[in-house]
Amino acid sequence: MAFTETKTVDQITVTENGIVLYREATRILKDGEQIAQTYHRTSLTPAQDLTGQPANVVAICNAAWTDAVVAAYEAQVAKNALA
Amino acid sequence: MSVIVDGTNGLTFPNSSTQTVAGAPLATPSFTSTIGVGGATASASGAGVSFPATQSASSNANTLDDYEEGTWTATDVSGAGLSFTNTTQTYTKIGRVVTINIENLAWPVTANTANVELGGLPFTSAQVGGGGGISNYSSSTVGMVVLNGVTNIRLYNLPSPYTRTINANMSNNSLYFSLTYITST
Repeated sequence: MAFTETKTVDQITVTENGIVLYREATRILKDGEQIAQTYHRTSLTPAQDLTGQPANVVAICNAAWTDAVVAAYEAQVAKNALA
Repeated sequence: MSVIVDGTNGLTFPNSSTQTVAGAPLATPSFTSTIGVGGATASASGAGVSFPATQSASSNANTLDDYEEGTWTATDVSGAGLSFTNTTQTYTKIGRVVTINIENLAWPVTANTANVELGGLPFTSAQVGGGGGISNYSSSTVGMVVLNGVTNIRLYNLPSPYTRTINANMSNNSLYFSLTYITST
């Protein structure tokens, strides 16, 4: 009987305003068959530091975060202010 | 058509035609373990409903179309570049309703005067929403506002006049709260 743990980014979403949401699934396998799974979610906003992020997520962020997207996002956040 | 169940390979029907099983359908079906919907594999543990790992959103207002629980990482997006401790927090999503819980999110010692802003929410908010919580900063109560269309939260000192909480207020202090907000699906 062998137990193994795998971590996989199983979902990446890019929202209209450039926020990248991704989900990492941690799966516990017993003799190759999944017996448990947990999720961890991360959100990345345009121009955020990507140090330590998974390579495939970084690639998507770099593609999505054009100068125009970053500027539009920052304008949205500024406009969002209540005070 | 006949069906043979011998315990070796479950119950298999041909793919090419609609199948029926004789007898009246159950008016009040009862399940002893889990059921999977939307093509989801039913969980092998416990009893309940298993939803697909990726939501299949329904436009019907009376349809529960998603359930997910997990963790997320709270980050400092105030611009101060602070490193919090206990950044792994929990969330539960039921339909379009997301509830996050923050337990003992701790600020470092800091004199930074930037307004507190937390990032990293697991889902974007579809509208401005708010909630309350406590910090051990001067035994104070703080209000939380989740912003529309983003994954950020701002903190406000309670009661009125609701000034923004600054990082120096939270220096060497912790935050506890639960906040429910709406996401788009």
